[in-house]
Amino acid sequence: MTDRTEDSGNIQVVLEGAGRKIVVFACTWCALIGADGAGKKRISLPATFRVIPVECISRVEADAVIRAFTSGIDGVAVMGCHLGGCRHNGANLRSARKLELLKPLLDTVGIDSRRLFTSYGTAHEYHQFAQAIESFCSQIGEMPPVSAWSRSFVRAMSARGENE
Amino acid sequence: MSLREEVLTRVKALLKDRRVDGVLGLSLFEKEPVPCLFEDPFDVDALVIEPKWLLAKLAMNILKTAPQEYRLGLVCRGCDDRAVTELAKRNQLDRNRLTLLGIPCTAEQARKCLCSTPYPREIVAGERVEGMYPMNDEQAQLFLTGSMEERMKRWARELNRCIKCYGCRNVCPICVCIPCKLEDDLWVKRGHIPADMVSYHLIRAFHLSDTCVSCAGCTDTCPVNIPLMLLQVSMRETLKSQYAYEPGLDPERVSPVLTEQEKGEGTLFQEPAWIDSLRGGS
Amino acid sequence: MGNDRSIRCFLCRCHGEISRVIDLDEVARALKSHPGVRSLDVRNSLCLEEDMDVLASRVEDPDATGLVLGACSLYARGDRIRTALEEKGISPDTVEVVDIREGCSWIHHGQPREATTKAIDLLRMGVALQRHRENPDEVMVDPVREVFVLGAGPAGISAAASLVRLGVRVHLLDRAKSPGGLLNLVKRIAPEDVTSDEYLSQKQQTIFASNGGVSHYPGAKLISAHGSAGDFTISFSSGKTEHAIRVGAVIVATGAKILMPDGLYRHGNLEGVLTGIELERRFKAGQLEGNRVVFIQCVGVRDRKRPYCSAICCIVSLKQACQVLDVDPQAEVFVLHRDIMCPGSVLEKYYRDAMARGVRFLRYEQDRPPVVLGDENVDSVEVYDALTSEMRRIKADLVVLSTPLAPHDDAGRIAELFGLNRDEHGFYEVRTLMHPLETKREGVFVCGSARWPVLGRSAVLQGEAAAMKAYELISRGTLAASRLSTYRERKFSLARVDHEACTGCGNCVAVCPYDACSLEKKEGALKSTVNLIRCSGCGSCVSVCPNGSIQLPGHSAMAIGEMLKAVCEQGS
Ligand SMILES: Cc1cc2nc3c(=O)[nH]c(=O)nc-3n(C[C@H](O)[C@H](O)[C@H](O)COP(=O)(O)OP(=O)(O)OC[C@H]3O[C@@H](n4cnc5c(N)ncnc54)[C@H](O)[C@@H]3O)c2cc1C
Ligand code: SF4
Ligand code: SF4
Ligand code: SF4
Ligand code: SF4
Ligand code: SF4
Repeated sequence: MTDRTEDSGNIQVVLEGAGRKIVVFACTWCALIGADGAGKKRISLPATFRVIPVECISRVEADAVIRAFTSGIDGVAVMGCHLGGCRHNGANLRSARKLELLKPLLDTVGIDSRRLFTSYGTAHEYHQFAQAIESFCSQIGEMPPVSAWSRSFVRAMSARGENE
Repeated sequence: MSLREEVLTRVKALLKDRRVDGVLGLSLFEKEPVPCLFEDPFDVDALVIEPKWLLAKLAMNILKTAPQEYRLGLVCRGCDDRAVTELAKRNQLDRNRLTLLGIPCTAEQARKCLCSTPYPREIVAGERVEGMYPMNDEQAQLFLTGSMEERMKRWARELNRCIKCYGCRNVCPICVCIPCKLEDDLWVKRGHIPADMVSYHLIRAFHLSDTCVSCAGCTDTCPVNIPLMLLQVSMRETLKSQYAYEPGLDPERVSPVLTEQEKGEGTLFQEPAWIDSLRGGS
Repeated sequence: MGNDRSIRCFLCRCHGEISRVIDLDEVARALKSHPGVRSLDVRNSLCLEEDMDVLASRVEDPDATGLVLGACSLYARGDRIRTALEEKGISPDTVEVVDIREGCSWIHHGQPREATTKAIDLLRMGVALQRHRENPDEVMVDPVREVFVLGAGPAGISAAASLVRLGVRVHLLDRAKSPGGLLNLVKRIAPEDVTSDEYLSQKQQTIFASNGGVSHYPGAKLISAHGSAGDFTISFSSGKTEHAIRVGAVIVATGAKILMPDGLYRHGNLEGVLTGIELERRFKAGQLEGNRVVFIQCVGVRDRKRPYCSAICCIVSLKQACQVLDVDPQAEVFVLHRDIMCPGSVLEKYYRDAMARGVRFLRYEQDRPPVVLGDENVDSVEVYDALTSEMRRIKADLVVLSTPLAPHDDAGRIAELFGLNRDEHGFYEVRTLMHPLETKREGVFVCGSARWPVLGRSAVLQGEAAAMKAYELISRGTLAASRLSTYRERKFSLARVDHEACTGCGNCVAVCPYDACSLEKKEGALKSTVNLIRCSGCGSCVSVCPNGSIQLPGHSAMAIGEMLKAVCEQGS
């Protein structure tokens, strides 16, 4: 685990992506425990992510993910248990299927499905959580802000205005 | 006998034998096609079968308001047949009260709708033609390929024309909710034309991810010519390739995003590659 | 919109653990001006009694006040703070504990400015959540202090005996005429080496001497089952009469069926080819002919169709092999196996003893199974010995096929009646992770071979354990639906349907992993309704309802939407 305060190379990435906003839906049975563990170990992480705890990732509606992107959130992570290890009788498997189905739609319109990070059972442990967050945050940091989408939208709008 | 005459004979027989109380189809009114509910066999000569016209939702509404014992016949194409199936699966109409008179579409019609199954499960007359694979269409390719930036620009150009008339939702045979999320400020900010059209269109498209029967109603209806149906293509393709699922084809099969197990069997689906969750984090 | 509670915020310094990194003054400034926030205090340690008292004293009207506490994680003290406040009369539904220690100051210690910004976001999210957290619905259940046990094999009998000893009335139903299950068919039981009557006699005495404590219905037929934890209604027919009973819990102890070989190894058309159970019948009747016996293991199992090990067959064959030697010490006994599965000290010893007594073991390969030879009677068995790589021909009078236990033919129906899942082989599934008898339906337990093939001893233990689980449920007195959870003190939330908006599409019904949603006709139209006792608050239904008709009041779409907004507000 690299400590960001010591690794100037990494800090660069953090700063580059500093304006980005990332929301993490974390299942209370796994990823949230991983997050708690990362805290206890005081692992230094980029400060761009905000956690919303959920009982199970099956609570996460695709509409909310869409809404997050359209209101300017650059990355959404949905972190739940192993598929097959769900406390709620496989609820997370169905949910996973649904979220995976959102990805092609995000790609179709160019929002880019890499902005939606799904993890099943890969963030139970503190180091896994930390690693997942780090790589996701730096990936989002390297991508243009999601508002580029709406900006290009507005540009297209005003261009139309001019034409008329 | 032409396809139309064949359908005509069937409709008359159905009404004469009192096997249905009415048949929903098209007729000409001042040379314009309009939906028409035929209840008297003598009126049936006015029936036409062209152009393609989505009738499933109208049929649903007729059955909802008519008395319980009212039975309806419906002249329908492949898309309407699939829509009826999806509506029945979601308890929006009682399949037992509905008799379908299926007719196939022409190759040209199928091409226009990018339809892969341009015929109902049962047809009363005519010939089935091969469907088409949406990705083989040039225009579709234009909208569904390219770099993220190109896609973004292209769709921004399209969606920004939207005047939020709700036509695409209203025509969609699957969209039946009252209230609808698209009218809720929480999901689609009101009074924000055009800034929130992305929410509008992505939410609408995703709501139909596993139910869209690719009728092209949304595309045909849009007054500003946004090729809306193309938003559904990638999701439909995903369902097909990962779960061999296509909305509207099998009345018995529940959408794979709603079920974990195949009906009646103890076995799991063949899971797609992303299931290997250990790959996810690293 | 929202619940109109006015918000009081408390920030915890945690003796510097939080305030060293996060500029709490700045956070306080940002939040004080936040709509809906009525007051804000910064304290040293919210988890200590002293601060908690201050906190409680600020809540004049518990229904009209919402608390948002900036403190540590749920797993550190967060949950305990909520519980402690509940003891002071403050409902957990009015308290939000926002983690700004593990989730912020400790992981962003090198970036105080970013950490402060983040803490403001997190607290605003907490305020948004609290303002949109609605009070949950609740129902109370008075558990019926009676238990239904389906199946009177070793598992079911043990469950019934344990319960009746605790003074619980039991209804024990079996479709068979006499109790004892599969063991009835067995002459002597390994590894204990007793007869089946001896094996269960004590328990049976407990049951039948219980003066009506156990109602036993042999030869009965289950008709229907409805209800949920604490209150099930079960109807069945026994003889010519139909019964309907109410019970608080259900124990499914239906065991498994013995797989018949279906022509394999010429069973059924060659004299002398038997299954294990047919051999038991001969032992019981005392008519064993011939002294050259070959056992073939894993018949119809551990293959593609049934890729599991039935776990009991090796022991059973070892026992039977020794029984053959008991009858005739000169007998020649072979066991043709793919692996011998005798785990644990007792069973391993059993294996060694059999070897010492002269039972011969020979390993065959799955793709080169033994071949039974003979015209009308068994003559010999030809087998490729995997260890010596030689073909062998073994003279035999009897060939005994060791077939596995498999799910009953009616397992699908039973699963439907009691809301059970089945695993990929068709056995009833129990919950994942440390809940080995609990099923997806709260109040229904599975034990014995119904769950997975086991020996008598395990069936007995599991039956007793299931009895304890059932007892725990029905003996707790009146229960709130929100507390009826296998996993938690208190469920996260309970789903609620807006009947005006629900279109009756049934998505929630299809997706609900607990069968809590169902469609009911209300004023002519189908509407979803939630069984609060079954609902676990997972939220699956919310995310598949097209128009948001079903919600978790404790975590509504509105709350999440407002939280997302709170994330976007700052710096944009
Ligand atoms: C040939 C053979 C030899 C064996 N020898 C030994 C041995 O030596 N030692 C040992 O420990 N174990 C032995 N076993 C295994 C032993 O039989 C099982 O461990 C034991 O029976 C499991 O008990 P159970 O109560 O779970 O199920 P079961 O014994 O199968 O009892 C289930 C009961 O439920 C009833 N039932 C099922 N479905 C329904 C329904 N729908 N409605 C009403 N009632 C229903 C059945 O009639 C039955 O009475 C042997 C098994 C076999 C096949
Ligand atoms: S989304 Fe468009 S193509 Fe699909 S069913 Fe609705 S109207 Fe038809
Ligand atoms: S867009 Fe969604 S909420 Fe609106 S009618 Fe269609 S399915 Fe229902
Ligand atoms: S039909 Fe066209 S213009 Fe009307 S709401 Fe739909 S996309 Fe917008
Ligand atoms: S919250 Fe979960 S358990 Fe409750 S009704 Fe919804 S899907 Fe079922
Ligand atoms: S998913 Fe929503 S609309 Fe459909 S039945 Fe359930 S609550 Fe009603």
